Amino acid sequence: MIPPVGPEVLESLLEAHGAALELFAAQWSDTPDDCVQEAFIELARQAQSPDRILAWLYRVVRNRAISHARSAGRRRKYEAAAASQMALWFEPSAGSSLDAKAATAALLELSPQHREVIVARIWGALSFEQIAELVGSSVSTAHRRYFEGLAHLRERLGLSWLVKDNPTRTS
Amino acid sequence: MACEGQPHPDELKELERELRALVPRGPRVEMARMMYLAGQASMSPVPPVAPGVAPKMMGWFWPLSTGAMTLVALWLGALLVVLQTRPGLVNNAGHSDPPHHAPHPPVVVDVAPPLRVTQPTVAAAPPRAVAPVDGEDQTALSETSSSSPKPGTYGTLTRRLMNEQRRSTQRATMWSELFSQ
Repeated sequence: MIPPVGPEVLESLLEAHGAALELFAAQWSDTPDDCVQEAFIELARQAQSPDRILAWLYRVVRNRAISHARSAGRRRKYEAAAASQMALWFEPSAGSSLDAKAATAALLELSPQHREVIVARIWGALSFEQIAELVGSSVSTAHRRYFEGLAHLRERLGLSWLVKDNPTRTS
Repeated sequence: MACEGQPHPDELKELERELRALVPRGPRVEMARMMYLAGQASMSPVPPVAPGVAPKMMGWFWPLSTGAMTLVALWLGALLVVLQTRPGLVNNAGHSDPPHHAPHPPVVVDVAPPLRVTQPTVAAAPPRAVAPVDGEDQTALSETSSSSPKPGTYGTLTRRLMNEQRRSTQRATMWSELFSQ
């Protein structure tokens, strides 16, 4: 029998994945920290530790965030609020050539289905199988949405490395 | 291998690296508060269930129980209607044995209490006072009981007693069948 999650594991999970989980919840809820906290409390309540804790957390966070958004009834207001909080999704980072505000704006332009796959894959480090189970789609659909979303981000952020007339790029 | 106009996989990998280099803000969850609440929650553990997915049995429990109780209520209601309309249960014993003669004054045999219809036993009861049965003329009760029995009275009395015993037996049987169901 798998023992329940202990306090040390909870602490390490929050430190390692708390920020990414809040980013994931921020797609729907304007209180992502509440969603993440509720997910961790739910994890502590489990009599048995889930098999894949990280995927379990993302699923709970997603359910909580969508539930918050529905009960608040502020989907349209969320988009306006998120637009005013664009810079709050990412820390100003010197390790990336991308502007945090521009990256956030580009992510917000994506459809929810594409955005959640990209956030879960890039910052959540979930596999495509886990993402497919999370969003309730097939692995191929998750794969397709991911690359479609990346292509849109590439266009939106102006990262056009593809040169049409480059003879080295052949189909 | 990329088609014309489609991003090259290497380009997308480069974009992935750039995006992954962006650090999400947070977490804004207060560690101490979360650990305190988690500790409280751990005192009342729940069985492992996939989050957001109710156990299959729980989804059917309330509809099944509601349906079962509805069926029980309907069955009891139908049983009540059937028992009300079944002949013999209605206290119209007088109609089943219409008197063929003029009513005789009741004869007091002893001072035993009147025969009741709820008697469960079927054993032969000793002769009792002739209690007035519903539907029969009860005015004879008001007459004095000191008059001596008239010829032919004992036969009528015996017939009445036998009818009463038969009806009691029928009622007892029906009640026992009802409770045995």
